[in-house]
Amino acid sequence: MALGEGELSSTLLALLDRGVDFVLVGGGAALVHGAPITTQDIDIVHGRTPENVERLMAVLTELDAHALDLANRWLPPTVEALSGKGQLLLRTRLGRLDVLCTLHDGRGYDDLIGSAQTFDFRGRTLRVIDLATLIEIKRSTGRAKDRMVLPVLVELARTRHRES
Amino acid sequence: VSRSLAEVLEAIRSEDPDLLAAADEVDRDLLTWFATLPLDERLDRAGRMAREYGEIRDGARRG
Repeated sequence: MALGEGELSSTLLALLDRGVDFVLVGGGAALVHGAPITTQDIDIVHGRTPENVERLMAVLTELDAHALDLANRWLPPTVEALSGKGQLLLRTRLGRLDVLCTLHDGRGYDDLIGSAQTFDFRGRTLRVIDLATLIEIKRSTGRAKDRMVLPVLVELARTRHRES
Repeated sequence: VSRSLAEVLEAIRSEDPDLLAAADEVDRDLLTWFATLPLDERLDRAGRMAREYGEIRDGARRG
């Protein structure tokens, strides 16, 4: 499923308009901070209260979200999975959406919300992991794709630090 | 506990000089220009470029 113009924005708007509590992390967060990178997906860490999982589930159903299971079957997400500790790598009709109950280091929404910065996005409040924490996350995963984007984030951080 | 930008940069300075050297090579003009774009446009451009790279990659795989 290829991404098209506006689909990253559309995914965010769908979540915000349903009142889903989440923190944007990953490449989407880097873009919001001003990093000139490409990304194929939106990564979010969501609140796992029953009410929020219900709101998220409604959006995912609306977007026809599915994830590949170990038996190579495309299955819709479940409330149980969204309430757990795993990571759901979903395909939706708007593109890829990675719904992370927790990060690789076990931190969830409640641990990250204190490190979130708010941005106005078409009149909505978008919570985005701050640049310092984003850099720390990308340094700690050990993944090549995270390592590749780090020089851009570090230079952006140096620029921001000089400006402040 | 989250660290400040200054603390994170200081940690990188002492632990990861290769990363700092790579950051020195980043095109600052591109950074400055991109950061001035509205958020919508940054997201749209990133999605469009990812799609184009995907098409190139798929074309290369098909030979």
